[in-house]
Amino acid sequence: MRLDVQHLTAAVLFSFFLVVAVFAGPKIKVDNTDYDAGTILEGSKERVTHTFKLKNIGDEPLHIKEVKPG
Amino acid sequence: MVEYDSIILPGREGTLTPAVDIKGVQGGQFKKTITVISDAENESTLRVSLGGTVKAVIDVSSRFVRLKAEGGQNNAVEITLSAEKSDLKIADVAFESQSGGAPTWQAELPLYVRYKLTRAEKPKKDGYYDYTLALWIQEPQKENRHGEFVMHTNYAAKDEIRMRGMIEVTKHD
Repeated sequence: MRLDVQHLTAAVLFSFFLVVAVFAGPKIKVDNTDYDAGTILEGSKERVTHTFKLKNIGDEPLHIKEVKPG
Repeated sequence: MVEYDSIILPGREGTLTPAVDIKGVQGGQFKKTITVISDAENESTLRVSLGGTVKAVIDVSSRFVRLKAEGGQNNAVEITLSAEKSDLKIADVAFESQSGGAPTWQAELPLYVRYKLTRAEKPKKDGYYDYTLALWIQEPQKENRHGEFVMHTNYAAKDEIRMRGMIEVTKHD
């Protein structure tokens, strides 16, 4: 019976580590990936900008390595 | 150009701010797509886009205008302009030569083009008024000229319209 408890504990711990191993790491989330600035009258602006919010929903720091066009 | 935060801590938010240069865009749609490469477990390559539509103050039907010299009003070339308002006026039309071969002093002199602007009585479905602009040249020219037609309008938001074109000399045998 004592052996069973030990096995059970080991199994629970193992599953826990497994879950942590799978879910560990940074994760990125953006609510709206395509932004439409709408209609702009010619000559009224020189440039259009938008600030996207990047959330890290993981449990480790997220590193943006590169941002490129395309 | 894009500004962004390079490190985002767990549970926190960072920003990514792309900019699209629309200076000189005369009308139509634009879209800029940005690829974000990170060490994220879920999406190491993420794409975002920033788009929109530029509405023209004055829409020009032609991109290139070919005018016959000494043709007079009977040989006028008609182009269509569209504007949201019904009070468009053209102040002047000139032709600026960019010709190779012609002496510099000659190339620098702008040639005044005669014109007549008439407006359609009713606006189109999109609310824009069509204007017909007839362009012609009275004086004879010695040689073909390539360059740009430059016209000035009464709209501050679009006070100049440029169209590439040429002035063609009629050959007499």
